[in-house]
Amino acid sequence: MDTHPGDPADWSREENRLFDAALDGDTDGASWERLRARAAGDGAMWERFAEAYRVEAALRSAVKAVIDVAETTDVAEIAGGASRPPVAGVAPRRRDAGAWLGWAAALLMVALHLSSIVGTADPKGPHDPGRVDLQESPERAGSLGSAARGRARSGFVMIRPKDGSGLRVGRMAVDDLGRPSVVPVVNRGVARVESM
Amino acid sequence: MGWRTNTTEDARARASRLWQAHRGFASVVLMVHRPRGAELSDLLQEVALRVHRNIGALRDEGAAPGWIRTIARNVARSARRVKSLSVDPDRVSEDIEENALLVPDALSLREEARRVLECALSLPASLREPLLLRAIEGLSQAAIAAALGLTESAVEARLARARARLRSLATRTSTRESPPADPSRKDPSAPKLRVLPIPPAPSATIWPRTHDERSG
Repeated sequence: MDTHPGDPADWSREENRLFDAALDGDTDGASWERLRARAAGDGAMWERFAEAYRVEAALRSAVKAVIDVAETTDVAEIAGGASRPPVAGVAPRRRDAGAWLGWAAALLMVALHLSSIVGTADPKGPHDPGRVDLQESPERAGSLGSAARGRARSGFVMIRPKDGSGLRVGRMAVDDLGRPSVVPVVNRGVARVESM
Repeated sequence: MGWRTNTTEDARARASRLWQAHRGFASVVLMVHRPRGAELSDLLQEVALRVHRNIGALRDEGAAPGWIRTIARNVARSARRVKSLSVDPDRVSEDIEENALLVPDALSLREEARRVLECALSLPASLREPLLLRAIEGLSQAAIAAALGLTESAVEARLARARARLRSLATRTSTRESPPADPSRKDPSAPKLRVLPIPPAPSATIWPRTHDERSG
């Protein structure tokens, strides 16, 4: 190992500790006194301290340059560029429209399913096929279909009236006392089902 | 729906805020762990993308530095795997010998800072990581300990060793390099010549003298 006078490898542990504290700004009065006392017995100590300061300053300058590279990257731009064009204000609205279209499609499927169950013939007049024209009135209560009993708290259920007049569509509701109840749906567009 | 949009936008804003606060830290972690020759800015973009994608997994923002460090190390590790698969055998020895490849050329550094950074990057990862993180302005020793998953005293000990070795290395390289012995070293594109020791001039004939020489 090629050592030369003042090689920091030979510096004492305490000296390094004092230098580190000074470079970090953590030096108190007692530490400065220790440094002065060491320098009084070793004239080259301040020279070594200057060398340590120079190395630390160069390192901090290099790290600052590394950080400057990061200052140019922004997560919003990167994420926007990776998944969709980062056009301000356009992408969120498009996503909203997609969500509404999804719900509309789901409702349409439910409506088609219901109309396929209860039929689409309207005895009182022509109507738009597939349209669920709900004009409800609390006409009479019936019993829930076995599939829906005990589970449904909202949405539509099939009702089997006590008079045995066939299945009807009902809507789950909550009365003023907070109890679940069924409101039969009187539907101009959807005929009563006489048999399942 | 509305709540979904708000949630997405909240997450995006949170990721953006978090990234702005910690991107400097991420770049230094990448600097420590990246493979030779990998572009720092490319790796940074990958880290930023992963932060954005996985922001929902971060519940405690106090743990953000450790979380980002894990992401940065994984990105660096992936880049290393890719590089090891695509390594050119003809360049291996050159890469190993060329220490300057550790410091990205894109960094605009003074010669002194570049030399010291090269020395710092030649230290083991367990020493160079706390060393470089401590050089980030405003990052405390406690914060470094939290990010590295170490105790403060362990960080302090590593830091002391790292600084002592860095001073030793930097002083030695500085002593060796100034003034430059070979003028061709000023030109980075010039081939580096290996200086061989000149054998001493023979002071006497080394072959056996003939009878005529002895008598003459």
